[in-house]
Amino acid sequence: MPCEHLRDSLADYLAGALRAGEAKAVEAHLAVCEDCRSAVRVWQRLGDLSNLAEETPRRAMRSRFDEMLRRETRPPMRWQPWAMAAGLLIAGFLGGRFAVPTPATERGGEVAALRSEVRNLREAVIVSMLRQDSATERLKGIQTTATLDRPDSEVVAALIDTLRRDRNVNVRLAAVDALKRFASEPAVRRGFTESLAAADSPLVQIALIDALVESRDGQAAETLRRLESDDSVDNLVRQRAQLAVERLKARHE
Amino acid sequence: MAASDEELMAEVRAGEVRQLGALFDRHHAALFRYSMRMTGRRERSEDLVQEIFFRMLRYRETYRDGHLFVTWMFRIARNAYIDQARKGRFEIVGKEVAEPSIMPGNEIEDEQELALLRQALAKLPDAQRELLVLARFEQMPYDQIADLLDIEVGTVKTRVHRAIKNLRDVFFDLTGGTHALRTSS
Repeated sequence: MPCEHLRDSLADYLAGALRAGEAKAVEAHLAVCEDCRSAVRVWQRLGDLSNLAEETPRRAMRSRFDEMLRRETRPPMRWQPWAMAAGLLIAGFLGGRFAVPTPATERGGEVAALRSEVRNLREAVIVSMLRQDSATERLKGIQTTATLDRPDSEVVAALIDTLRRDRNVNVRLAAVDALKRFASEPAVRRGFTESLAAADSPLVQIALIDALVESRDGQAAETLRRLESDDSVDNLVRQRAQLAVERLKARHE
Repeated sequence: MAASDEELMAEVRAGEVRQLGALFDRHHAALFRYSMRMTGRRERSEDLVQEIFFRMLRYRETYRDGHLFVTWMFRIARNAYIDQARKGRFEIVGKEVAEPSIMPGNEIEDEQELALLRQALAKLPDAQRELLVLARFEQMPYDQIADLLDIEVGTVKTRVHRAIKNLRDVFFDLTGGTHALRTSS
C-alpha cells in the first residue's frame, strides 16, 4: 500500500480508531516503510510529552476564578457616558460644598452621611469607568482616583485588575501611577508584585519595579530576583530588577 | 449521578452561574495544557484560562442545547488565544523552553529528546501545533476537531498526518540532522 493511500488510515491507526483487520494492513505497511514508522514514533513521543508534570496548573487559579465570578455576578450597574459625567459633576459639586466650613447649627451627623454618600457615588462611577470598552474612558476613570484620599477596597481591586488585565499599555501604566499613591496598603504592594510576575510589556515591568522600590517592599525581592535571572526577559528590565534588588537590600540593612 | 457538562452549562445559561465552578474544576487543567502549548508560558496560560472562563460566563447565552460542551469551550478558547495573539502578547512562543545543546554524534538522552520535541512543537505553525495538541494531548476525536475547526473529518486526518511529518522534520533539523526519534518504552 503506497503512503499516500495510507494517510487517513494512519491517522485513524494512531487514534486507535481502526478495526483489527484494518490495523493489520497498516502494520504491514509500517513494517516496510521507515517514513511512516517515524510518524508513529513522533505520535508516541508526543504522548510521553503530554504526561509530563509541568503541565499541571497552580491551585491559585481557582481563587482567581472565584474572584472573577464574584465580580461578574454582582448586580449590574450600567452607566451611560452622560450619566457618568453627571455623576462626577454632582459628586464634585457636593464634595466641594461640604468641604467648606458648615454653619454650627447644621448637624454634623447629616453632613457626614452626605459626604459618605458622595464618596460612594464617586467610587461607583470610577469602578464603572474602569470597565468601559473605550481606553479613553478607562484612563479618565483612573485619573478620577486622584480625587480620593483613600479609596475603598473595591476601587483598589478594580485598579489592580486593570493593571493586570487591561489590553492597553497606557492604561496599565496609568494604573501603576494611580496605585502608587496607595502603596502603603499591603494589597496594593501585593498587586504590584503579582502583576510584575505576569507582566509582558517591558514598560509596565519597569514601572512596576520602580513602584516596588519606592514602596520599599522587601517581600518583592524574590520576584525581582526571578525576573533578573530570566533569559526571556528584556535586558533593560533585568538590569532594572537587579538594581532594584540592590536598592531594596540597602534600605533594609 | 453527576450532571453532564451539557446539563451544567444549561444551568449556567439559565442563571445558575455558580455551576460554572464545577465546569472549571473539570476542564481548567485541559485548557491550561492547551494554553501552555499555544503560548509557551505559564503566567500567560493562566491568564488565558481565566479569560476563557470569563468569556464562557459572559457569552453563556451562545451555548446551544444539543451541542457538545467541550467543543463550544474549545471554540471560545481558540478565539481567546487568537485575540490575544493578535495583540502581540504571545510573540515569543516556546521561549520558556530551554534550548538543549546537541553535539553531532552524541547520543541524545531520553529527557533531552523530549525537550527537543517540545522545542520542535513550539516551532510549528500555530494551526499545526493546535491540531496536535487537540488530537494527541487532549485526545479529542477527529469528528469533534472537525466540528470545532469547521472542516471535514478527512481534512482533519490529512492535516494531522502532515503536522506529524512536519514535526518530525523540525525535530530532525533541531538535532542538526543527526537524530531520529526513538520509540517510547
